Amino acid sequence: MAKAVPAPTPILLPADWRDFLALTKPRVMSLVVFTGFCGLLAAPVTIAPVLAFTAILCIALGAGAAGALNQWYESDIDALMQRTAGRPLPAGRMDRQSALHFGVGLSFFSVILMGVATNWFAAALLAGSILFYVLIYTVWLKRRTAQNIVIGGAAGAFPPVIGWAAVTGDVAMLPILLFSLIFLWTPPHFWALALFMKSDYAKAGVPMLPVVAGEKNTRLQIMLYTVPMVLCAVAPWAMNLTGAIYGGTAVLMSALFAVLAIRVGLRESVAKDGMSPEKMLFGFSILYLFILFGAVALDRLVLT
Amino acid sequence: MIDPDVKMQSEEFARRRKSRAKVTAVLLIAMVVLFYFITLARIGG
Repeated sequence: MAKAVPAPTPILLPADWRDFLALTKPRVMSLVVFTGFCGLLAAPVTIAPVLAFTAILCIALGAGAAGALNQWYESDIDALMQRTAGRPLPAGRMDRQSALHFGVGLSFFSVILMGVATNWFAAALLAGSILFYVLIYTVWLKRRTAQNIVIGGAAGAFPPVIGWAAVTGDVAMLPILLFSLIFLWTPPHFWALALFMKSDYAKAGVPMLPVVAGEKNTRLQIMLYTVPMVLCAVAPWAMNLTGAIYGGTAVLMSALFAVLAIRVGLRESVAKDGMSPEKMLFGFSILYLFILFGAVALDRLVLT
Repeated sequence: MIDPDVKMQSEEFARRRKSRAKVTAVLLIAMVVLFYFITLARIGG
């Protein structure tokens, strides 16, 4: 009888640098960096270009660190969702300890670099936003309540305030309004996504609003959050904090957002529904934020 | 004779280590240059 040959022990491969990059959620980071950059440009004073560049780099690194720690904590539920199963941890391309070390190291580095290059108030805001995203949103709220992204949205709203604070060393009404705009934009944006990814969230046991409260309630809430969001979008112009470029852009884009939100709000999905209005609202909401923040920066550049 | 699977994994292991070392070196140099310019900007006021 032939002797069974034991299978060779597979060598545990070190994660590729591309996996570390994927851990930072580069696509989410692009919006964070852009809003942070626009907050920095909107400030009434300027700093040396290298310091401005470093401030934006720190916001990017901080967002990347928060993303890495989020993926470290959520690798179990990421493995259950089609959208996230290919990430480095659930796909088995990286061990959890490497992700944790990377996330913690990057957090400290980004905060210290921000403090050294700009000021410690901006560094404290950056540290606060990372802690908020990781501890309040990821660890505490995400698996417990349907209000997870409502409160957790504050973490994503910090960048324009950090960008402004990096230049001025304080906070004023305009960055507070920009913070509020992202904060109120987050629920319609994520609930539009959750409507067409409902089964994924349900499978992973994440209590997103459509899973817990049903589609009808979610659609109503999308419309309800759109009203204060639109008011917040127009407020900087109405309060004379920005010029006509931003004002016109905000009115037009917000009207389009409202139309799409109402379309989603008033419909009911049917069997084998392509959910195209929801997908359209989700896609447009990203464009909306990019264009509005671009207009804030453009307005300031034209005025000065 | 070395198992071809093990040989391939060893080569991939070495390739990844080398690639990560290169990326780390580039990032370190970039950080040193960045700190140099930050210091200049801070001193310059």
